[in-house]
Amino acid sequence: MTLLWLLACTAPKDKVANDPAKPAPVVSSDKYGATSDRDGFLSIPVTVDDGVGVFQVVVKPTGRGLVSTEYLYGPGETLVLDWEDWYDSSFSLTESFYAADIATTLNWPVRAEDGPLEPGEYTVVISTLDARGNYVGKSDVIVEVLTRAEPAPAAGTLRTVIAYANNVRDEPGVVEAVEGAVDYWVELYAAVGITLEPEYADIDVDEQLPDTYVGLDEVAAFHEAQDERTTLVVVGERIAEDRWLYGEAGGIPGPYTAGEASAVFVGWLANAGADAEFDDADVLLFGETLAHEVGHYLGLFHPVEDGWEYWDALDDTSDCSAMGRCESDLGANLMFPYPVCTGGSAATCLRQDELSGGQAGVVNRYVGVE
Amino acid sequence: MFVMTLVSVVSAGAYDVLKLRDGADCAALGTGPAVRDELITLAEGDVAPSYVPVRAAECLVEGFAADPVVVARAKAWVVEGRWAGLGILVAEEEARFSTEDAVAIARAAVAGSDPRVRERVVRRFLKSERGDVRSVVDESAGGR
Ligand SMILES: [Zn+2]
Repeated sequence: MTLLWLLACTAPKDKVANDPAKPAPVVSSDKYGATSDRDGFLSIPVTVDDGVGVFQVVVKPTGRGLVSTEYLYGPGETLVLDWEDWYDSSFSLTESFYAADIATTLNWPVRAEDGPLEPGEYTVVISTLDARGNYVGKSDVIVEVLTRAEPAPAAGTLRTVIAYANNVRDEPGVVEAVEGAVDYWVELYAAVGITLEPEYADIDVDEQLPDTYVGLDEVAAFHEAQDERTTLVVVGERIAEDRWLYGEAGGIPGPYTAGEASAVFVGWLANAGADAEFDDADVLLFGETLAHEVGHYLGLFHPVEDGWEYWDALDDTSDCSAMGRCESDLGANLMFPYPVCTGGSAATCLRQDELSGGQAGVVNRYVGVE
Repeated sequence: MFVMTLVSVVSAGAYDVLKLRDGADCAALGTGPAVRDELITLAEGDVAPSYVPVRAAECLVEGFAADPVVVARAKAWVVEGRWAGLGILVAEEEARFSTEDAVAIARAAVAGSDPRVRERVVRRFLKSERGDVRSVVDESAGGR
């Protein structure tokens, strides 16, 4: 496949101008409609000017199909990223290679060794697919390209709205617990140089939340109504799907754009425990869950997956391969797949307040850490 | 590690599925009385992290709602303060129970002696799409 061939189908159409009435964002963006070629590929140009440190490309299908990211080319048509290197790998770099019906999100660079960006033209190649994963040509999509300057070290800010679903504010002790959990989350992110700026709001959705990957139209509308881009955490009572009960990120990474799944959903009930009351230890665990789930949204995988056969793509987190060793090496890591508890109360769970330098780099490279 | 000590007392398989922070798949636990009893032990025991008991109850409601043993536990959860979260869960998921069982659980909730638990659980039974269930709690809501 040549880049020339790829570029043949890049011409954006239906360009949507940024609203000039809004304040100039640190993140600049471009949004347009496009159509994949007859083979189901679309090349998306990303212009990297001097000073641009990271970009994020979000592509959403407009119909019922799926989208996935396949390749990234850098200036000079160099192949930077190939989905086939990662798709069956035991190491995870981004979920963007896996076909999704809501969006494919590539935030680049992910790791220090993936950067820095060079000024010039990058090209992200995505594919449009049917539900079985077959390529489908001439499929319409919405493309959003975001770019951000490289921040000074430890200077990034992450705006987050914590939005309560219907009736949640009326539950005794829940608002207090959420605010306590968020205070701890602020501390956890401060340790990796991110200033978390939380705001609280309400969102008119049923407190029985769906799976994040199903999404909610109200989530997209909520984002559209914001003056500035933000990450969104929706606090409901439960995630009322059979599989997901507790908290779940909307993608690794999640999009820094408006969309049905542009949120992290959490349920207060499971976090409060069997008695539906938050004690101090429950609040700390809840804070770690918020930080962990939004950590996924910012691009972090578990350093090791439960089962001990899959790892993140970072070289400063242990590639342990047995439970005891993994708990010893990584049990205090915020992104470990579960809290390591030594007794029957939340107070006996190890604090998971550590992130490696590599993990800190990943979250700071998320385009929404401005 | 200590976790292994804990799970050997409680139940290795189910605990290891339910402890994962991002969520759990009840289907991975299997079926049968041994799984049911293991889940009841996790739901009602002192187990950390705190979400494990709630998830265990969720899996019981999802997979064992027709089991009289689980229906009996559900009647206890909707009245006892230490299990109020499980009671809330049962009321939200009442549609998984047969009408006869859901009515019986709702009656237990209405008769509960802890007003705080009763209010939280009854309020949720009021959302039932089944008139038979709603009428049990309607009377309670109107009469108190
Ligand atoms: Zn996770």
